[in-house]
Amino acid sequence: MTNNNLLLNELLQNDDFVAWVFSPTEARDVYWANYVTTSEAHADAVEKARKLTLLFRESHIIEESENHSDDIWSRIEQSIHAQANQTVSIHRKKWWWAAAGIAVIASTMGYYFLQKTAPTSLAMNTAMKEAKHLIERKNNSSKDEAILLSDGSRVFLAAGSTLKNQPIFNDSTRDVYLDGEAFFEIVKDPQHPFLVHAHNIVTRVLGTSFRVNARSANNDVTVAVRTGKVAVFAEKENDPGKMVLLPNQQVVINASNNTAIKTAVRDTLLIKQPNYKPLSFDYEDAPLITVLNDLQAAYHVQINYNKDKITNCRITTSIGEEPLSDKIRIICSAINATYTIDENSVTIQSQGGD
Amino acid sequence: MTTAGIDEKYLNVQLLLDQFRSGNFSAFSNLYQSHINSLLHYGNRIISDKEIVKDVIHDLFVEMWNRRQSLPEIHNIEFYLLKALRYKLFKVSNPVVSVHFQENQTSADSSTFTIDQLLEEKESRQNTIRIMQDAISRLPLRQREVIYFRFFKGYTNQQVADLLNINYQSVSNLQQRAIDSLKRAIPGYSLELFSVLLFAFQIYF
Repeated sequence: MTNNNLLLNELLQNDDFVAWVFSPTEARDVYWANYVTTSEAHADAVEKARKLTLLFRESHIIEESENHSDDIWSRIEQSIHAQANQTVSIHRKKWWWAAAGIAVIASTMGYYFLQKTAPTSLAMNTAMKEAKHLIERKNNSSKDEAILLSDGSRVFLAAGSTLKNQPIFNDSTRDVYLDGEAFFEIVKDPQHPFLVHAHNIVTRVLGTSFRVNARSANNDVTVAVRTGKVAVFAEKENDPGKMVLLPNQQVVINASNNTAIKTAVRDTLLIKQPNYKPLSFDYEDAPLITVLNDLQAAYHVQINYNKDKITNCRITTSIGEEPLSDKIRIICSAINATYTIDENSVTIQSQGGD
Repeated sequence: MTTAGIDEKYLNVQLLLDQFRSGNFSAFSNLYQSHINSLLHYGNRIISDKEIVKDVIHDLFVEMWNRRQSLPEIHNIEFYLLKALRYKLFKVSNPVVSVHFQENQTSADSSTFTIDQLLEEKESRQNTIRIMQDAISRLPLRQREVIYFRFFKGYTNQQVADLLNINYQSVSNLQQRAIDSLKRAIPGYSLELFSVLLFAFQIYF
């Protein structure tokens, strides 16, 4: 009896044994299979020790309800930036005088040009920088760089692109300045619209995901929307009016020659999220009402339907990659209904549930 | 898994560390995301105040960023982070003697279970785990840590000695004491009955 106990303890304390239980490999299997044949007591001890080991491990697994890793990360970012800005302010003073001189000259020239065209983005950006305390980040790598903003929004900055923003958003709007290309995943905050400035075009959202391409070579700015709703307009005193984009729509807009071309996004890759977690619309025998609610939330669009008629409808479908209009079409053909799509809403007329 | 696979993983981590050392914030973010859950899982088990754990983790990463250029050679980043975290946690606060998890406080006194009850279908496995969780949480801190690092993280005895800053023999002693307590916590424990219990446990494996 005590002999068995000793064997058991020996095994539990043995590094190789525990390693074998957690990560069996062929070599380890061979070794322990051999050990087991030594005697029945050995076999018995291995059996018990194995189960105990697994039990110990499993007892440590606890479902975490909420983990605040994102909160902690925001604080870490803020602290690091706060530190950096302290050193930067020392340097600022030196070129303040030089910059002031240039600013004066620029503004007189600027006035002359203002009558003909909008101010250049460079002058505007410099003015912005003086007004708001901005930090600048350039992605010098060859891959997308993920940036977490103080409100929890994420920006995937493309290679060679630059993003300027306040370390902590504390104005009535959340502003960022883009030079290049980036994919944005913006946290919803209707009280504080999120504005992306690029080449004198402003893209305004409350909370959605979309891509802005404002590479310097041409002055075109392309905005492609993945989820939610986005308003795009030119940064001018007399705003000619804004254009609203729905998911899977894109616009190529040029402020200098006042052109705007709105199209559907043919290439769904264009607005694919850079990393993991694609929105999945995979449903297996799900209530239709749930599916419609998911679509409303993802696309910020009102869906009108007759609740009574489809309360009992259930649906099995995978419509992840389709544009919204196709999603609606697929659902409607499954439940034998017709639909109409307006600017901001979808109406489904059901002939009777499934 | 082929050895080539393991080497590649190791190289990728080293590459990430080099990028981090040269100031790549994105690499830094990546390191954080890869290990934060591990750090929180451990921290919350030895310090009951979650706010303190969050604060210490924050400090740990900010300091790491500031000292990135003098970061030493690291072969196992998770181990390095856990050790650093542990050091800071112990400096900042006296880790509680035992951390009782809410779920376990309502578990009935283990002596009310009979072997027959434990052999009852679905209940027995969950009960066994609950009993074990409770028993682990009642262990003295060091013993608890040894069990955590050996049987949950899968570290070797030497690694645990290194992490806890004690010698190999101490790890062995602590471990034995812990294992004895844990075995005793299972009701009706004796080797024969114990094997019956484990048999029941085995059904669900």
